[in-house]
Amino acid sequence: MTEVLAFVFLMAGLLMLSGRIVVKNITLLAIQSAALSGIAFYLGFAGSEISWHMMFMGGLTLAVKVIVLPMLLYRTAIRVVVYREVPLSIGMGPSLLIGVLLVALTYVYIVPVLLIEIHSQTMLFPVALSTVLLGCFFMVSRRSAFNQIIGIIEMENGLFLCALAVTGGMPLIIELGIFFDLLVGAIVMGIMTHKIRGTFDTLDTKELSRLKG
Amino acid sequence: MLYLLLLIPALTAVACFLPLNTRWWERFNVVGSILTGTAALYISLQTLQAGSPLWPGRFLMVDQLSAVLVFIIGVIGTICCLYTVTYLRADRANGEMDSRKTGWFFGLVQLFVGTMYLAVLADNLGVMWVAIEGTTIVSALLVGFYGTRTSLEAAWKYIIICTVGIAFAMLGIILTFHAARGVLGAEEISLSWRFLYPVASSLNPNLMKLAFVFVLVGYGTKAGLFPMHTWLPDAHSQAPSPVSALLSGVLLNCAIYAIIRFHLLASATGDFSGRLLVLFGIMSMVGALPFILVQKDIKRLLAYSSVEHIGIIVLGVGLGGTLGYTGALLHMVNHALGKSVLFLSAGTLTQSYHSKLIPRIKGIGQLLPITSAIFMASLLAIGGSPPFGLFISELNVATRGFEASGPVLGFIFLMVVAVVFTGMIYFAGKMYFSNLPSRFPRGERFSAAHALMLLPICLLVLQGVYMPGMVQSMLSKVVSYMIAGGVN
Repeated sequence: MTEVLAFVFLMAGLLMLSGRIVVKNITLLAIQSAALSGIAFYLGFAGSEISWHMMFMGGLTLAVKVIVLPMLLYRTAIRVVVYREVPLSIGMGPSLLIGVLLVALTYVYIVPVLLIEIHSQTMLFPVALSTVLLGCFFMVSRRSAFNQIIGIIEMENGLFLCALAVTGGMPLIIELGIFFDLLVGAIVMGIMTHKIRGTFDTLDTKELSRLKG
Repeated sequence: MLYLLLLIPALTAVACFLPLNTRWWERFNVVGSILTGTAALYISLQTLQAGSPLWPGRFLMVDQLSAVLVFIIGVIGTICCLYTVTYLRADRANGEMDSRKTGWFFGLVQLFVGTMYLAVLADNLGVMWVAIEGTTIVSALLVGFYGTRTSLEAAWKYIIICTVGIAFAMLGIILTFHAARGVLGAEEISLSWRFLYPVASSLNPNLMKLAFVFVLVGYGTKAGLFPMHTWLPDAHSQAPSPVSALLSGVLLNCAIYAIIRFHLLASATGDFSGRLLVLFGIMSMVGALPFILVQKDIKRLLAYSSVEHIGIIVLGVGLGGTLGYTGALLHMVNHALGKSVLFLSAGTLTQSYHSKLIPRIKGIGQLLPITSAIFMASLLAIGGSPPFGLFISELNVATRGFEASGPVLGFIFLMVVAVVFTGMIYFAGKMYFSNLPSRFPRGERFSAAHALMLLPICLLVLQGVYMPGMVQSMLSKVVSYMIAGGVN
């Protein structure tokens, strides 16, 4: 079961690299988060007794990352994103190719060679780590301030799954703190895209390159 | 007790967000920051004198090392908060800031200071991470406060680069938790510094190496270590000056504090982390050099100088030993004192000249005799000349460099410090020893803002000329605590 959900999780990350339409990316992000919360729920149920910690985290992910954040992003997108298609710094084909290569790199080199010390039985860990890298690359390959927010949330998703895979979840209070940070951070970034849109008339990061040296 | 340090700034911030008028916001800000400062000084001096952790709670704790940081935030944070009042008055007079927005500004500055207290008081790796990410979010709003093109650009780069960077630090924390879980169990204490240090030597060394690399990349971004420093000059130059002073004097130190904590943990199982810190320290020093020499913007100049000084601190920590740690700790305090005054006085200068470009700022000695005297003194201090404290801390680190790693490192260190000094003095000379364009009115009166800026300078001179025995014994307690790996 977790394998299927992890596959959905990873594919959502890859598909985000192939789309130029902002609304589609937000939907994919929501699907990815839904897969994540599914994994947490499943792990919570799967053990001999129900793990309330996992259930709670799954519920919180569902509430924050599947419902609240995508809605906020969607409403911000309608107001600030002027273009339907995001300007790219790397072409569509090459960026998808690089995404696949990043996933391959994680599976072939990073997890079995570099991070050999981490004995994680499940296949969740490489999925999580490649999603962190994909999120990072997503931010670089788009020349749009708004898509950088999406990339950061994707990275957070990867990190969350990482914590789940490696340690079986961080202590509850820490997870809550991270959620709070993510939510406030996303709101602040949303406000800032709004201001940038008002001042620059665009969200193209090409314009954000005055300060040098 | 420790919760006071979080509560007072938070309440002050809430009070400043209330829809009142500027006079009330100023009052709240002044009272709040003085109260916080007093509490911080009391807590840090008590702890330093006792030489052992005090007030251990579930999530907060103060030990000798964090007491040093609490002292820095207490002094610099309070001075910057108080200076903000004058700064904003001048800004309003210049018509650069809407008076309705000043309440927001005060409130955000208070929140910023509060999150930094949380970052250094946190006993828990995760809480610390949350707090440091919190500082990014709050201060990004302050960096972009003017809402101009350049300030928005700087704020955006700052929040994006630091958020991505700190995500990698989270990976490091996850790995540390993984390593500690086998020893301490899966509860919160596996992420608590207090419980981690005694068992540091039984953590898996390879995991700790990996964790340290991630943490260094993550928090190193926030600290402005060389290849990850790109946000720093932008944010420091575009932020309102009191915020630049807080960023440079306090925030960078908080990130370094996080790195030191992890270094103490990782160095129990090998000297890998120390060597990595030496490498990054030297890179930051050398990397900042060319940018300092060709700089035209006064605040960017100071920002790159911060990168260089962060390099010195990290180098001292990496070299370790009594001399290395003493030098690094002293340098942390001294750099914070000197650089914040430098940013504040430079802020007054840029406000009076309406420009940040060095060639435009001419004859500062004639226009603002008191401010420019303070500016020159703090510039000499930051350059590392006697009789200021930075001379002594740099000497400590340099001596340890020669001792621990041979003449090459020591030579590079001294050369960089000397060349930076020359560069800074050259620019300062151009600004000071030139004639004022006649359109400016001359002279200024001594004001409370000057007294605020003189206080750190006095501390620096005192420390460079005569270090009281009490301070020395406090410092040696902290250093032996660090050498013991965070165990009493």
